[in-house]
Amino acid sequence: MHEGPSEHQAAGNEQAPVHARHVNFLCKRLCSPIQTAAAGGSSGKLPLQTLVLPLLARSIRVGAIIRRSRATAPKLCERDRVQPAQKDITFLGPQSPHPTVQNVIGAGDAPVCLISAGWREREGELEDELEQLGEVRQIVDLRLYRRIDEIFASDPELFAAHRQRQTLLKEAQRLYRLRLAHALKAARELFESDDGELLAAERRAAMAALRALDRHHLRRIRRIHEAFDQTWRPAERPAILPHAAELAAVIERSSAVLIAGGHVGVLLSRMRLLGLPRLLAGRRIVAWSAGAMALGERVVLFHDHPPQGEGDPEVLDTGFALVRGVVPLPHAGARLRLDDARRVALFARRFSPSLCVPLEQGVLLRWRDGVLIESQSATRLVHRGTVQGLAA
Amino acid sequence: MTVTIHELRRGTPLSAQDIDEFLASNDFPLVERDGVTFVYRGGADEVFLRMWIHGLPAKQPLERRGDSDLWTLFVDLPPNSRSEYKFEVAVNGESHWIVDPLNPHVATDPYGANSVLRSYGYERPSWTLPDPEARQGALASVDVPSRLFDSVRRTTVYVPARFRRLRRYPLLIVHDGEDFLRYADLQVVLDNLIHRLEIPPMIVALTQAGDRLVEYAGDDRHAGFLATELLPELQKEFPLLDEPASRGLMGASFGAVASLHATWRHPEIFGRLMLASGSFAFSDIGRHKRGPVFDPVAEFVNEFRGTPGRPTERLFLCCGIYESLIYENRSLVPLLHEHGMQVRYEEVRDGHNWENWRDRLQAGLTWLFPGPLWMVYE
Repeated sequence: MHEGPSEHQAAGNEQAPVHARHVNFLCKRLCSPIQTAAAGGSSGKLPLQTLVLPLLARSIRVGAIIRRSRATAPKLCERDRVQPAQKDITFLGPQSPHPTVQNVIGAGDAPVCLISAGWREREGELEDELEQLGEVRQIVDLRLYRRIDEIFASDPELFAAHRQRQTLLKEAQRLYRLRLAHALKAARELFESDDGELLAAERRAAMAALRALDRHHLRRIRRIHEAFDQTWRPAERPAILPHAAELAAVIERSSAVLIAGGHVGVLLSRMRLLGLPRLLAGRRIVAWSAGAMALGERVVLFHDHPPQGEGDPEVLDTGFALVRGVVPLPHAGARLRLDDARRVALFARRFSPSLCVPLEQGVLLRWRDGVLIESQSATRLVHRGTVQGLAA
Repeated sequence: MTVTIHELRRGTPLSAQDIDEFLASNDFPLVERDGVTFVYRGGADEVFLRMWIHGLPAKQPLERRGDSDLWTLFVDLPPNSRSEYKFEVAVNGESHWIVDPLNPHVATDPYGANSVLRSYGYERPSWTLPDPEARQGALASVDVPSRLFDSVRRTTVYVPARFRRLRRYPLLIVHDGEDFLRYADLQVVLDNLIHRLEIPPMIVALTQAGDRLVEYAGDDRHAGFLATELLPELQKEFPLLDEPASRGLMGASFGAVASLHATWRHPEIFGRLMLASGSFAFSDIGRHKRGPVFDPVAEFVNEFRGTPGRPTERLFLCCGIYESLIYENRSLVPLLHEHGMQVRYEEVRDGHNWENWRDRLQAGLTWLFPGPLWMVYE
């Protein structure tokens, strides 16, 4: 049984009239529907009303769009739910070799805190990306990577349980990949075929199958996380409590939280164990690369031309959903064949209605109170297989 | 009007001016989809192409165009080929081997330099060229006292950029390592592949033999040196991952023989092997025909073919189809498969040379040591 809309509905977004699609873009994608999650139910219309309704109130099926958005969005684990709206979230492109984060944060007296767990052993080393910011701001690294190592050392039971969860996740990913390879191959072949009378329906069905598989995988992943949380209750463990309290205090004193890129799996795992999604609620956040990926609804791994394997984009995990309707794609220019219209089209359609947004150097996207208020050099993959300006 | 390659082939008479214009307006050798035209200009009695492609004559004469000093030779060569060659120029009864004066592409090896032939479709891989954005690793050296060789062996070690003692690294030991640095751009390749996340940051020990034709030819002293002297010394010096899957041996030609032999003599220590153009001489019956230096090699390979066991887990083999060793390398693949080893085998239109081995490094290293490409977004 599907938790989202029917497969036909999921794929049918492409059939919507132009004006509806435009609204879909403006409302559901650019407005971070964090308010939808925060308030639940129909109060999720707030950003829509603010931004768009005066313009197109009578011509669109707002309710249908909102319902579809909620239905297709991955659900969150209980621990990951964030109740208050996010005040201010910024996504940046990669920060090396030309960092821009110092322009976003600027000088000031209040410290900013940093999550650099994705750098693993290099955690907290302010080279390259943060050198310039470090000159004008105090940067306090939250040391999530090392804290978890300390926690595991003092709580072997939790460590064993964590290892077991990782093994399960790995196996789930392997099984998902097995099915994904076939589903993607079929979809690619259909999209590469010449137009024919029956082809459109088959393409929609293949896309629906892909989406169903992605959803199935996310459901499985979510259950693994939920089972872990319910059984081991990390938030209540003596080994974690003092760290969580210390982190809360540091974050409270900081004017912003920076989330750097790196290993997205490590970043997710360490942030999740320490309850960071809850601690980040309502904070100003600036995230780049893997940091931005972790804040989306689902984490999509991608590389069109790896030296080994087929390069099938795959869903890894649920993200923390602080920003919705966006699939961040760091280094898309280097990792994706953006000149291959069929691959781009397949990518964009598969993750629709979310916007697939390349995060290249110099890109900036900023949401305030759930509404996209600023974008620089931002583009998106579109259904017909090209890359367009975000506002196009 | 500039003379065309087609006119050249038809034997159209050429003036000195025609030749000047022709040379000025083309790159040499002249590459077309179906083959290559070699061109030499100069006074000579005879000019020969010396090209190392197994199956073609080692020496092919260029033809003088009329009474001019222009010499040409067309050779069928499939697309995506790469090979190395020289001209043998005979003047007044004396012959000299020279690189092609019209071809700027030159490859070097321990014996000197050769001209490089790149047929239609071949492009030098971008990851073999320096990338200004790639952080550079460093070279260190370690002195390894060897009881087996009764000497101290200095080994160069590649240490990746952003090396941290807290982290543990895979280890690759490379035979003829300094030659790989010099002739196959190994350091650039490692920097680039690590930067691209295609392989993990790794420690790479670059060994150089005393007498490689002896030590690499199935010599138990060398196998023992790697497994019981060099490896422990490296483990003392560097934070290394302690599992066979994170330890590899690599070598080309005799270096490939040494890699396979060391793994066979000391099984399950090195779980990853990269064997390029291995000199795996063997004889199913009678004696091999490769000369006495191959005697110990054939002895080892014959023994290995009889009882290979499963000394390692994963191997990458490659060989150029223009090499005489293609038969020996092909013969090894099913044997390794049959004995439960994971094998990836690649054949390319290239010869027994360093640039061939350079061009295989990405496929080999990423298969043996896959990097965090899929998970890291910096």
